[in-house]
Parts: sequence; structure tokens; C-alpha cells
Amino acid sequence: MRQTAIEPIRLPSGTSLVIVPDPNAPATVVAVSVRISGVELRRQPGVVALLARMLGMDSQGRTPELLQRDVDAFGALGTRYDGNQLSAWSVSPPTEEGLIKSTQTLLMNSLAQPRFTEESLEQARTDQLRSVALFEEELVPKLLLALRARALGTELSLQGDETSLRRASVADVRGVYTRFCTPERTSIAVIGKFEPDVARRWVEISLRVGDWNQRSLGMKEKLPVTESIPAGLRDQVLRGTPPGVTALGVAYLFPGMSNPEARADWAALLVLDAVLGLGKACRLFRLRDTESVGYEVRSQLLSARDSTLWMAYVLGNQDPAVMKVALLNVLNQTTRKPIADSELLRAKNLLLAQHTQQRQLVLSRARALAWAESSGLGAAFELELTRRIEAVKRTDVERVAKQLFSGNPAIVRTR
Amino acid sequence: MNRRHFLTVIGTYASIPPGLVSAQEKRKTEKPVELPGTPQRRVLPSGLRLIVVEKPDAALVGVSLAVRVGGGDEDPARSGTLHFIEHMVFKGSTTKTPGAFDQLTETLGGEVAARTLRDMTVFETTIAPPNWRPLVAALAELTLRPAFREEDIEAEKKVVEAEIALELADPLRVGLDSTLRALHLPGEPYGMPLFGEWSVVRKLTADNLQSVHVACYRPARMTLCVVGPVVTAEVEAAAAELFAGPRMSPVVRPLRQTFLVPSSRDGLGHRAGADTAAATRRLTTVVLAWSTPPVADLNMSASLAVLAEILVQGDAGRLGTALLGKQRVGLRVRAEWVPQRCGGLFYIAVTGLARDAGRLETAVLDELQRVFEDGFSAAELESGRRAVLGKIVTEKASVDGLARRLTLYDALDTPGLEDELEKQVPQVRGETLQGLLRTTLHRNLRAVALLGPNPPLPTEGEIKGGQL
Repeated sequence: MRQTAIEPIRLPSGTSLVIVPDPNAPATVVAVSVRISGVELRRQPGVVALLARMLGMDSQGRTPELLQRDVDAFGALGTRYDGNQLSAWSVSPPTEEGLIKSTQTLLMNSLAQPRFTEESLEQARTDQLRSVALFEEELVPKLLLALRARALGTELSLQGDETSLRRASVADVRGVYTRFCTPERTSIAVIGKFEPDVARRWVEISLRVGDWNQRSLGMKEKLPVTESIPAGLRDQVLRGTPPGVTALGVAYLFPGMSNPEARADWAALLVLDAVLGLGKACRLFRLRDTESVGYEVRSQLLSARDSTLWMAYVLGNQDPAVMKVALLNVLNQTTRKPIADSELLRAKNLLLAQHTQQRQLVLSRARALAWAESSGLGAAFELELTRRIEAVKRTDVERVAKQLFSGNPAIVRTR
Repeated sequence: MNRRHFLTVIGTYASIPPGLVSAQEKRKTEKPVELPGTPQRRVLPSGLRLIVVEKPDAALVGVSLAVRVGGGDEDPARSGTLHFIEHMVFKGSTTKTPGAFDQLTETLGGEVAARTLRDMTVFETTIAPPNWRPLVAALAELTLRPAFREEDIEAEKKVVEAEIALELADPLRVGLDSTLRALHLPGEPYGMPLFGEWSVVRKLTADNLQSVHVACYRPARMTLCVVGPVVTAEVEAAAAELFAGPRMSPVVRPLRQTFLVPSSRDGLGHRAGADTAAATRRLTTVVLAWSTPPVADLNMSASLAVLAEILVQGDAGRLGTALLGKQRVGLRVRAEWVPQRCGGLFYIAVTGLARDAGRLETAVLDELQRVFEDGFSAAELESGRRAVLGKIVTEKASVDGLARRLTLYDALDTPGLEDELEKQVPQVRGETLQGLLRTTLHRNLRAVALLGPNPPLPTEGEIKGGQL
């Protein structure tokens, strides 16, 4: 992975741009990330998900058919909303022509001047309703979503439900686009075989259309920060799980990415997460060997601007009460049992190796850069991850562990 | 995730530069030039088949070790033994306690994943370049000399029991297992559940495991693939030392005949058994599966791969457009060709709302009939071929993906077929695909599983559409 990153550029409009020339890249990828936290739109569940589906469907500059033909001509275009960021990306051949076509289609015709019509809304609604219905069969995502809602004390429906999706109108989607898809909330990463000046020029040309560069600041980011999980919160029971299968998840809160101290602690938090839940030699997975608890035992860090959630879960067929005792024992010990040098070394090495493994494709590298820049962590963190992880000391991890586990857990389990 | 035409064009610019190819052709009479990135294949004295791909620019090394024996080689009395051994490998060797192996490999930067398939058992990981040798050494020790301690066996049974419970909750996995069972005659290994019958697994002893391990886990039945910034000669020397053994030729399994249930004549196909988790499922999934020729049938294999893409391609394929778009009877359609040594599998799975349970199978059959009658347009064929090639190129772009691909086809006893398949895909013709729908994928040859809170399966009178 040979890449020379240049410092993130703040364009006059406020859009953040990261350009990474890579002479060996087999493709050019443009990735966009727009910061739209689910908590900012809790009264309009599912509208951002619809917006994500409608971007790239129709444009003020191109008909849907021409837009589709453009995409077919250069390669691929995708969009997604994960509850914190709306992302869009294009993949094209590693030529200047590919770069031009993909920036024009993604940035000019999709991001800067989309067209929202009843037809495209209907298509997006149908697709989103299908996605929501299929979600019912996914045990782990359901468990994690329930944990998130329990920890944040809100029934947050990020992807919407049947009622909210059917209620959403073209005006709602356009309103969310106008208020949130603004330059200062947007980060763009471009990776490929090109001269940096050329890439920058085409990004700027593509964003010169419509009112993108003159757009006002839009909606100021208002994040209702959840400080802590109340003590004595009862376990929530997850319904509709298959017979013979049990699951239990716990969640703890950590400050979000809008908090500078939390950003400074992010590397230590990643290492702590790896000590506890990454790989098969981590503390949680060892429950399989020591107590025969669970089949899948993992942890997950979900960072958002408002708050970060650290979650761990067990899937298997044992009594959830047994899972709970075993899981909480490990977590309680974390603040008491010192982290051994061998644990720290394993966690760091595995974390870095997995990071490298996940960044083998240009697409995943570009998306990660745009995400990091948009979340507030900064593209530099992504590019310097090795140095940042290596710099983490045992005391950093223990301090972060103490902070994380001094709070109360939220627990969701099956019957 | 919304993806439109994802990575379908990458194939056109990832091939070897023309200049290099012509340089190679000029030297045909001289010693062959081995280009960087060309798989180097060796057979070591112990019978180990070794594949090395030198990729000097890669940031990682991909390591894949296949034991060329899987669930499809087990007789019913031993079903699940190989899957259980795959678990026990992680429990340590005579010199390593449970967890020590994972601690070692993960400190080196590699998490080893394992899976048991019908034709092989695979252990794979990626690792930082300087650490490939200690990782391969650990893999060799664990796979060749596992401890099989009684206390570990009993503890691991609970883990495997939990894994089987989770499998039963997954409608696609249950659907595939039960359609395979319906397609094959009783006792046919390909028809057995992949992880075995719990009634057999729960009684396994150290002796049982030891005897199967001795027969199966030996270098002559193994394929090791290493991809990354490595030197072939160094990997070869290390593998020869670590996988040493009596001088042997690699074990090549004879291509056995799989015993299939004769085709049904009533149009209903082979109906799979009841879904044990039906009451708690909220959605319905119907799985239609057909037995296909052995993977070595190149033209057939390439055609099945292309057909699967034409039918689905995200949601934009023939079945996706018809079922999800026009008729709105489904929520998701999947189609896949599963290559297997002695006979593969082609399946179509549709998930829909429970109220549509009775319509899903009919809708698939009707659409297949329409596809058969309409034939395939040039654009559709091109799109299907590009989708297959795009997936191949994406897989080959990572060291682990390439190692997995090379190991898979070698362990199917078809070394090099992955390359032939890639060349064959552009040759796939519409008439061949129509022929497939008329013969191999004939409606009477299908097996059907219905998973979910479903009403009874449709009867012959309710299955509309003409005979394919």
C-alpha cells in the first residue's frame, strides 16, 4: 500500500478534502461522508435512509436514464446511511477520464444537485421497507440496535419503520438534504493514480454547480449528549428469537467524537476493545474455553459524535443468566486485573494487522478516510494509525477501561 | 447498502500489461518466465501441495491451509467428526495449552479462521510479512499434532452444540442442508448436515477423533498456499521442514458418484423436511436447489456462475426485477453456484413476508420459465459475465482473497481451474444457459425447502407455468 497523503484541505465552501495519490491503485475511488447523526433527526426516523437511497437516482443535470448510463460507463456508485454518516462513493478506472466522469457523476450530479421526485421516493421507500423487514431476521444487528436504544434511553429508529417511511414525503427528504447536506458537514476523500492538483481541480469543478459553494451553514449540530446509563436499569428482553438460540449483550457509554478528550483517547479505546473482544485470544472469547459459554463472543465499538458505545455480546444456546454472569465477571475484572504486556502486544499487533487487511482495497481505504475526517477524528488518525496505536501505553488502556466501566451497563437479552 | 454495478468493470484493467504477455510469448522455446504474481506450484516430498504467489508490493501475507477432506467424505456413522476436529485444532497440541495457539498467532498479527466444507477443511489468515514463518510453523504443529484432551473435548462439545443451534436459526443454512438431504439418497455423504448429526457428535471420544485425524490430517492430504511479499524458495524450504513426513505422493481422491434421488414426475420436486424453527420465524424463505455436475466440468461451471449473476445481480437481475420489482412477492433474492468436487449445487433463495409464502416458489418457477422462453439478451449476458469477472478480480486484489481462491480449487482436486474458469467466463453463451434450464436445472430436479411460519407447501395444481 504505497500512498502519499496530503494534508486535508478545507475548500472555501467549508468542504473538507483529502487527496491520496497512489501510483499502484488499480482504481480511482471518490468517497463522500456527510455528518448526520440519528439523534439530530429522531423526529423523522428513516428520512436520511431514504435520502441515501435517492442520491444518484435522479439529478437536476441528468435524467435517471442518463445518470445510470454515466455510472455504467465508468464503473460503480454506491450510497449508505449508518445512523451517523451518510456516505456515497464511486469507483472508476485509474485514468484521468475515470476521475473526471466519477467526480462529475458523484459530486456534481448526485451530491450537489440531486432531484427529488415522487417516482424516486417511491422506489427508495420500497427498497427501504424491504430492508427494514429483512432486518427482523438478523439477530445480532437487532440485539445491537436494541442495546443502543437502551443505553441512550431512546427508541431511536435510524432506518425508519413502516409508519414513518410511508409518512415521509418528497418535501421531508428535500428538507433534510437542504439542512444537513452542507459543505461544512461534508468530507471527501479521493484515492488513485493521479496528480493531486488534477484531482483537486476536478473536485472543485464538480462542486461549482448549483448552490453548493454558496450554501449556508445549514443546521447547526445539536447533539443531546447522554452522560450516563441510569443505575438499576432492568434487562430488556428481546423478543422473536429462534428456539434454542440465546443471546445477551451489554453496552457501556463513552463520550462521543465531538469531545476532544474522547478523540484523544480513541487509540487507547481501540486497544482496550482489542484486549477484550478482538480475536480468539481476547478476554471475552476465552469464555468459550474456560466456561464453555457461547459460540460467538465479540465486542463492538460504535462511535458517534454524540456518544460512543462499547458493546459486547454472546450468542449461543446457554441460559442468558449464565452468559450475563460470565460476561460481567470478565468486564468487572478489567478494572481490577492488570493488563499483561503479552495481552497489550497481542491486541496492538492484531489491531494493526486487521486494519491493514481491511484496507487492502482502495474503496475501503477511501471510505475510511472520509469517515475519519467527517467524524472529527481526522484523516491523519487513519493515515497514522500504526504510530498512534504503538504509542498507546498500558496506563492509557487502564485509564480508559476505568472510565468506561465505571458507568452502568445497559443489558439486552433473549428470554 | 445500495450498490450500483459495483466493481463490475475492474476486470478490464487488472489484467497483465500486454507488453509483459508478449515478452513471455517470445520466450516460449526458452525457460518459461515466471511473472511476479504467477502461482508457483510444488509438490513436496511429504506429499504436501504448495502454492506460492510472490507479490512484492503487498503489505500482508495471506496464508491458507486446506486439508483435502470434508463433510462430504464422511460416512453417516462419523458425521460431524471432521468439523469437530477443526474445532479441536484450536485447543492446542501436546506442547500448547488451549488458547496458547491463538495467543501466539494473534501476537504475530494473524487471527486464524477455520471452516469445514463438504470437500475440505480450511484454516486461513493474513499476517505481517516478517511473521509468515512462525505462523506456518504454528499451523503445522496444531494441525499435525493436536492434543485431543478429554476435558477439552467435553468442553468443546458445548461450543459445537451452540454452533449447531445457531445454524438451525439461519433459514438459508437450514434450507441448504435440507435441500441437499432431499436431493441425495439416504447415506450419501453430500446429503448429510455439514456439521454432522448432534446424536453422533455428542458421543465422540478422543479415540474417534484420533483415528480420523491420523487418516486425514497428513501432509499428503494438505494444500498450503502463501501469497505476499515472500520468496518461493524460502517458503518451499520452510514448508518442507514443517510439514515433513514419509515420502509420499499427494492423496488424490477418486471422483465418486453421488447418489441422487430420481427426478420427480409430479412437478413438485423433492420436498425437504419440516422447519424446526418455523413458529418463531417472522419471514418466509424458500430455497430451491439443484444438484450440478462436478466442478471440473469447466463449461458447465462457468455457465452456472454467470447464470447466478444474471438471475440476481443485486436486485437488478431477472429474478430480482420480477419478484421484488414487478410482482412484489419477495424482499430478497439470492442465487449462487456452489462448486463441489463430486457434484455441486445451484440454489435460489427468496425471502418474503409470511403472507406470500405460498407464492414464492411459484413465482420463481414462472420466472425461470419466462427466462427460458425469452432467452438472454447480449447486454444481459455481458452484464452477467462482467459481474462474475468483477467478483474474481476483487477477490484476487487481496492476498487473503487470492490465497483462498487458489486453495479452494486445489483442494477441490482441480488445481489451476480457477484460471481456466476466468478464461471461460467470457465464452459463456445464451444457448448454453437455456440448455441448463432445460436439463440440469429442470423443475422436476429441484429440491425445495420452505422455512418460516408457512402454510402448507403449494400443490401441483397451484404451481403454475409450463414445463421447462
